[in-house]
Amino acid sequence: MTDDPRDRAMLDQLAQLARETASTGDEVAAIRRGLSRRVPDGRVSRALLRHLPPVDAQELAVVRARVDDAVEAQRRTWLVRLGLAGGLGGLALAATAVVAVGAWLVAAPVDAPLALAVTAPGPIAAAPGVALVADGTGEIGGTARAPRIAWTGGRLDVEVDPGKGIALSVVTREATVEVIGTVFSVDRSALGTTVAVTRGKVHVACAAGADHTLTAGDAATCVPTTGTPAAASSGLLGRANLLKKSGAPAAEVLTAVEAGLPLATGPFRSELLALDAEMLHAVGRSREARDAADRYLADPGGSRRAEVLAVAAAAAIATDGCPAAMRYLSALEELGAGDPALLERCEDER
Amino acid sequence: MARPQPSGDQLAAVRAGDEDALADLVDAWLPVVLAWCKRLGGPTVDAHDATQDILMLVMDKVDRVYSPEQFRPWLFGVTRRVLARHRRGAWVKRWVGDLFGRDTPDEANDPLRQAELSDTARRVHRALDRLPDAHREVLVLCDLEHRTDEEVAALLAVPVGTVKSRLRRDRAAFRSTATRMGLGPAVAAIEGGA
Repeated sequence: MTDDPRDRAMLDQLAQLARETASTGDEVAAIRRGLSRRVPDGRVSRALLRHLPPVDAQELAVVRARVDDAVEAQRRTWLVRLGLAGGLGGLALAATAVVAVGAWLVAAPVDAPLALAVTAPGPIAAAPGVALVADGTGEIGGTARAPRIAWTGGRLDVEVDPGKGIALSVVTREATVEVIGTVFSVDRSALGTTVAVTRGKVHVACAAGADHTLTAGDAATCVPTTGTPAAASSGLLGRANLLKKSGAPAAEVLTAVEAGLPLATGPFRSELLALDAEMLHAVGRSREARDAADRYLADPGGSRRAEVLAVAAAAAIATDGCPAAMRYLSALEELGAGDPALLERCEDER
Repeated sequence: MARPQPSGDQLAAVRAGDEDALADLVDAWLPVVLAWCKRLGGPTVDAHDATQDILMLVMDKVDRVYSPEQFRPWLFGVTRRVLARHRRGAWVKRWVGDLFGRDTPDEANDPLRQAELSDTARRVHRALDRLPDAHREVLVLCDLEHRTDEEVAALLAVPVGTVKSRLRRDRAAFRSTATRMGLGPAVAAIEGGA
């Protein structure tokens, strides 16, 4: 150990390298397999030969002579064979080259199975006619003619050569993207899966129900869902909160909120209603904002009561003036969160 | 980290030609040798290849080792020599190309594995690689593998005092190299404030 703070910082970095270079079970297994291929069978023989009694020198000389003769005879035979093979081989090679070049020019991709894990950014030559540029993680499976990419996160740019009959699909938790001959990108993040098409036509099926057929210049986003309505609504609430926190336009937050509301129950519904009221008012739909606020406030247990009362009051003032906001302002006052000046002004107007 | 310990009986069995004993010995030391190859070989050396080469040599020549105390420094010496050969080979390949390329793809050469290190680990790896072999060995054995001074002294066949003084020197050398490579703003900040 060391007391020098410079050493401690350095030791932390060395510790990180130590963790990342520790041997894994897969690596050990791979090296064992490699070793088993390299160890010659004769190893067993050598180990056994050490335990045999010493050989008589004359006998050994006879055996060596016989072995040498056999080796020489075999060598002569092989020389003759090589000579013949060389001539025939040259002819065969030329013929094969002509056939191979012709086949390559017209061949469709061989339908070989694919199995590749994508963990690092960069281009990937997954199969003939398919060009991928990854900046994320996923797995490439399927076959060369029908690649199937399970994409877990980040961006994937895809180009599929048209006219080669390649049916490529990209699957994320939110979307299934199927394409024949086009250029598009798939970007998966906590906000969902966004598909944008540069060339050709792409069909996107969202797990949350919506389907899109996109052409060049189009884009669509499939929002997160984990299947059950409750889980889907919680995912959409999360998405809406994330969008709001990241400063996204209110209309975009509202889209996520309104997608989740029909599915939501219990606390998720309550939270979504609160956000709905806020966002509706933000986009100028104040009457609807007040309705949403009223639905939220109908439940006395809401944890964002003061917030929603303030939105309702602002929405009421915007649509019907101060008197309409009185009941919200009074409720706020009771909660100790009121604005006395505004309350007084509205009372005067009544 | 649990460290394998060859026993006198095991070595005797190996010398006696017991294939099972030999396989057990190789299995026990494979992870250790692989970790040495990754950490001491540097980014230019294929650690899997080097590990296989080392273990092939071990299998071929271990019958020269008669005691457990002798085994570990012998193994480390073999590792050091094989890694030096691989590093020279990697240098040649960089300029001349791979004249004896493999016919079949080897999972050890999977480029995705090279990219699995985080950015920090990769830079630390490069900084270590720039140190001379003797500096790098003590640093790796002491500060990455947390071996005691006595263990390291036994591996390197040097006195314990030599290990301590080399470690102080090697840490300073690594810090200097790492700072020049722009590693560890924390390290640079401490240096500046010290």
